[in-house]
Amino acid sequence: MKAIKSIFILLAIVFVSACSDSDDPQLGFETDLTEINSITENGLKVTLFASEDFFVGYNNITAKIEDENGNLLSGDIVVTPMMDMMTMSHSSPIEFPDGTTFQDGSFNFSPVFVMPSGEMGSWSIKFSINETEVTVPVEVSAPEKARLVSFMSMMDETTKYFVAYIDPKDPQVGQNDLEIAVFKKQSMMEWPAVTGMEFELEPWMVSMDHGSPNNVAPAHTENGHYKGTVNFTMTGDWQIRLTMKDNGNTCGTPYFDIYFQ
Amino acid sequence: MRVLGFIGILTWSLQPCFGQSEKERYEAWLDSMKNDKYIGIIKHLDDVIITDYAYQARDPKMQMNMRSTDQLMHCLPGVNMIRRGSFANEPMLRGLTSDRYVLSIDGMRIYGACTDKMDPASSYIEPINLQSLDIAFGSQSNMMGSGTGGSVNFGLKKPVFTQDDPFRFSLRSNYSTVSDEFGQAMDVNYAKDKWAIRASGVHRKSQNYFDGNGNEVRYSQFEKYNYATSINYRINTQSILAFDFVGDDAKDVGYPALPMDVSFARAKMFGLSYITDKIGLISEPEIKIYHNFINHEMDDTNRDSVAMHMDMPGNTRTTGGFIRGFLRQSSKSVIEVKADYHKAFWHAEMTMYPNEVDQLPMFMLTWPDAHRSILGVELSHTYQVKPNQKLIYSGRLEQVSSFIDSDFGERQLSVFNKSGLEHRKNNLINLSTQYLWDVTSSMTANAMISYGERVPTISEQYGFYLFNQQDGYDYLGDPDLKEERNIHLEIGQKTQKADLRFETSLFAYLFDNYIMGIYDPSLSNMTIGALGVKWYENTGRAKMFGGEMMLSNLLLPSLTSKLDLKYVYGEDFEGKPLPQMPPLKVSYSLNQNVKGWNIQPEIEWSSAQNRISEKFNELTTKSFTLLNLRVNKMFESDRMKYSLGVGVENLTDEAYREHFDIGQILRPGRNGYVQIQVMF
Repeated sequence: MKAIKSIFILLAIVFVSACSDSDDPQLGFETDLTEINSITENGLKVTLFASEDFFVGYNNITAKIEDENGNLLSGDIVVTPMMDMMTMSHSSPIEFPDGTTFQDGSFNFSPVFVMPSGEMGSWSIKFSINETEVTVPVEVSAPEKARLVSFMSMMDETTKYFVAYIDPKDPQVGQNDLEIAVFKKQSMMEWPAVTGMEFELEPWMVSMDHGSPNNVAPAHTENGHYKGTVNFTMTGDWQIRLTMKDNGNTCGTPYFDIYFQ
Repeated sequence: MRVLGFIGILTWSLQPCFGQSEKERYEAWLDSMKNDKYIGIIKHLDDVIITDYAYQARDPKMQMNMRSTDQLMHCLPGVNMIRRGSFANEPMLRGLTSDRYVLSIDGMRIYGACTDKMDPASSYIEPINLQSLDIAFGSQSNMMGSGTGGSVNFGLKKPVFTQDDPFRFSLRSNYSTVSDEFGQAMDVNYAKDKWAIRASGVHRKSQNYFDGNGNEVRYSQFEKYNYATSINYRINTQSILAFDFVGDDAKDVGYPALPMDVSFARAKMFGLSYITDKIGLISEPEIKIYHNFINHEMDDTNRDSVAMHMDMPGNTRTTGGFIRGFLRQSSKSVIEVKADYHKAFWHAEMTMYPNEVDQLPMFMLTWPDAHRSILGVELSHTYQVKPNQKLIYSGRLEQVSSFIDSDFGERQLSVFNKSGLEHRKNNLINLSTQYLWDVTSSMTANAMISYGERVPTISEQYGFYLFNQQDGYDYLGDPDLKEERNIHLEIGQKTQKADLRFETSLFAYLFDNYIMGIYDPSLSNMTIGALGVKWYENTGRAKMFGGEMMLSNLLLPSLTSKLDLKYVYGEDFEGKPLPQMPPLKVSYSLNQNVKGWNIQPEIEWSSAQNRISEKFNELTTKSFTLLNLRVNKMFESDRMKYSLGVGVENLTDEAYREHFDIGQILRPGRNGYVQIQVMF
């Protein structure tokens, strides 16, 4: 895991240093991530970085915030992902791991895009930086294997839950740390984290109809994040099968398809 | 106890080829030197005249069962052959499988490369390569290694230094009707001055056989080549340098009892030894270095209906050496010593191909690149207490170090919170004391107590989801397994008169930490259709009792009879029957010589086995009776010898299986065979 992570970081460094100036020490802003999009509006320049293109699911994004002269800024920030669907618009779950202030031009946030960009509508991320508005249009694609599952609660059939797959990003044979995050849609603009759920976990090798032993079902840690351990006894196509329960009652049975060689 | 089945002219007729003690083994060794058939030939290099070629065992029964190593071993007391198909039967010593005994070829340790035991190392050798077969039971180490079930050593045939005739050549051909099997074998011996060279080649090809119900047993075909050479160079009258090579290529081998077949199994063995009369304190020392490797490829591409296609290649390689010799050889006391070291490597993997095209193949390491090194020292002392009483005691210390060096394998183990990277050390002790007492001039009684330990096999220690067709479970190895121990008690007697030979032995094995698979209901099977998962565990105590009896006598001047009896009883840690226990087996044969024709009718009877292991989902096995009739004739001229053997095995076309066979596959039905041999 560590080795692969460091290889990944190394590759990212090579890639970034080859195609962007973002690691220029003169700017005081270094990142291993790839530049995804950049926009200058109302005298501010916002550049978004991530390890991969934005996808439907849990994204880790770093924003670089400068003024027109390239000075890195600090201050207060509000970020809202917006899906504009012509007749209506809605937001998505979002997390601010370091709070809503930023320093030295760098701000981390994690939106959970709930649908892909396309004919249905388009995504943008609205920033309010020291009360100046900047809107960055972004492209969100559906990954080959879904990393976000949504379903109506089997209990009340009205609450819509969103379960996002976070880890393992590079699954391998053996023990893997499993992390998921759960949100629900309260209104078009309110997508709070869901705490207090219980999970059952069963990794499943679909083509052979068997599971794997000694898994630890994800348990709530904080802010709607749940962590556990998933074991894979071989390479191939696996399904991480979950059962989400609220006070012992099954809300839904989301699963994630993953594969590795 | 020890069984020495010297093939070749060395022993037998009604003389013992089944020696009982170190001392007798030593005497057999001395005899063999006098007969110039053993490598001990160094003593008598200059007066050797050879009349022997392979397939001339003096034991008429063995002589007529030389078409394969499996068939040959089937005739030995205390040995049963487990079948998975026609090819590569697994020898079982008193009900113990190859996990528990040490197997070597000419003292060279060798490990089969199949996780499903499709290739016991005995399958890589042919009778034409064999000079001797040395089998020890129980926890005696017999200078071969530490085990709880004994040892098997196949002595390789040595070239002979002929004086009068530099070239010796023999050809053999045989055919069996039940499986449409053709076998060809040849060997050639060339000697000149200081050189003696022997080369042999074997080709066997068999189709599917038919069982006693007349049904074709599909996937029981095989084809194999075996080629060997041995080069001896006489450095001086006291010293020989010997090089041995054996290669064996089997291909398209079917295993009807298993879900998979073998596309190829290839072994290469190399040995270099130096034998002289004395080095320092050690007389008759043999120093040997060796290397061997096996590549084995299991697949199921020829099977009609499989849930999922799989490839399961495996390989092993072993490198080692030893020095052995005598510290003292007097009429009253013989001390034999040996120091040996070898290291071995095991790799086996499995790739499964899903039927859906868009699904990825699945991969796992079933033997995760396991390494093991073994260092042993051993001493055996035969001491003449009184003129008619001998004491033999021996001891072996062995240090074993085992680990895996695959990150992938380590991650697999992490699923069970286990690790294999650490070098695990096992220190093993084997001790044995035996007392021999010549009660009368013709009867020798013996009593023995020995203690032996063994390390888990690589499958038992590191195996990962190994499917066992025997009980239908996937098996997991446990790196933390402890050594298995066995206290072995034995009493026996041997009576030998001019026209009678009568031998009995009774044994008890008292195991502790007995390793066997235990079902873990919390785990789900990996293999499609498997019943669940078992862990190899140290289960505690297990007991085995049994014995062999052999009575051979001269009924008429030209008529001999031989009666063999063997039986094993086993209990596991819960007092339940151990799996694969051989029931009572009786065989009785007559050998009548009529004008040079040896006519040998034989009846083989096995009782039913109703003591079955429920843990292993065993089924009861019914009793069966087999009738065999063999006829042999040797023709001789000045320069040439011919021999003709014909016979019918399973005359009544009995539909039967042995209890310890894998799967519910019936053994072959009526088989006629013919065997022709030419020597010149």
